[in-house]
Amino acid sequence: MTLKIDQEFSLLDGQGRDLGTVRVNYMQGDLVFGRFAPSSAYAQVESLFAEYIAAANEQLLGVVGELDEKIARLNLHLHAEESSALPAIHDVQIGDGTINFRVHTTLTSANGPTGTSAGKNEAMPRADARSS
Amino acid sequence: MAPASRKDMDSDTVVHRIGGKEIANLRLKPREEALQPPGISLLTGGTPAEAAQQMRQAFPDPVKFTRIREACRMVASATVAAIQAVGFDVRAEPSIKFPNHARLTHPDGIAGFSDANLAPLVRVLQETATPEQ
Repeated sequence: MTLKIDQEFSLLDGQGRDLGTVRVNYMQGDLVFGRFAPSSAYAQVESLFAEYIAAANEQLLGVVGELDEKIARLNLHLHAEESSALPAIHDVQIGDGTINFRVHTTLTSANGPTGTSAGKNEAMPRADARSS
Repeated sequence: MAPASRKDMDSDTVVHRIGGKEIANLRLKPREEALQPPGISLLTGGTPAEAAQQMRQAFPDPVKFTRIREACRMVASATVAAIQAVGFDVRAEPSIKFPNHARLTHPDGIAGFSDANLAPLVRVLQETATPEQ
C-alpha cells in the first residue's frame, strides 16, 4: 500500500502502545513528512526524540548514532483500522508537532513490522569514505 | 558496530567539519568533553558538497533541524595528515547512519582544544561554500 497525502495513522511501538496520530503532509521519494499529535503514551519516549534533535543540531553525531539505535529498538510502525498492510517505516524523527520517517518497500501486518529490515535504520547515502 | 582503529585511517583521507572553520565551530561542547576521548564530529571521504548533502539527507526536516542545516552551508576540510601535523588526530567512529563518521581528538584531551591549539588547525582547514542545491 502506498501512503497518501492527508492520510491518518496511529504510530505504534513494538509493545503496541499508541504514541500518537500521524497525518501525512507530503512525500519525497522514500521520505514522508507529516503532522504528529502525541498521545499520553508519547511522554514515555518523548525525551529520546527531543534529545535526538538537540544532538543533531549540535552536530553530536556519536550521540545521534546511539539514539538512532534506541529509536530503532522501539519498533515503531503505522497502524490504521481500515488498512491491513502498511509500509514498514524507519528513521523516525519527531519534534515540534511534526514527524518524518522513511518507508521500506516491505509491508507491515496489523500486528507490527515484518521483514528483515523492519525496525532497522538503513545506512544513509554517503560520501565515498575511504577510511571506513 | 565496533569503531575502527586509527590504523584504518589513511593519512591522505580527507575529512570534513560541517559548519566551517571558525574556532567556535571547533571548540568542544559539554557533551563532547564527556566523550572518551573528547572530540568533535567529522565526516570522512568524498567532497565537501557530498558531506553537506549527506547531513541534509540524514536530517531532512528544515524546521526541526534548522541549526545543523544552516551549518551545512559551509564545510571545512583537510587531510588527516595535515590535521596530525598540527597536533590533532582523527579516529573512525562509524555509526549506522554515518558509516564515515570520525572524531577529531587531541592527545591532551579537553585541554588540547584550547584556542591556542585550534588556531593552527584553522590554518590547515580549507573552507568550501556548500549551498543547498
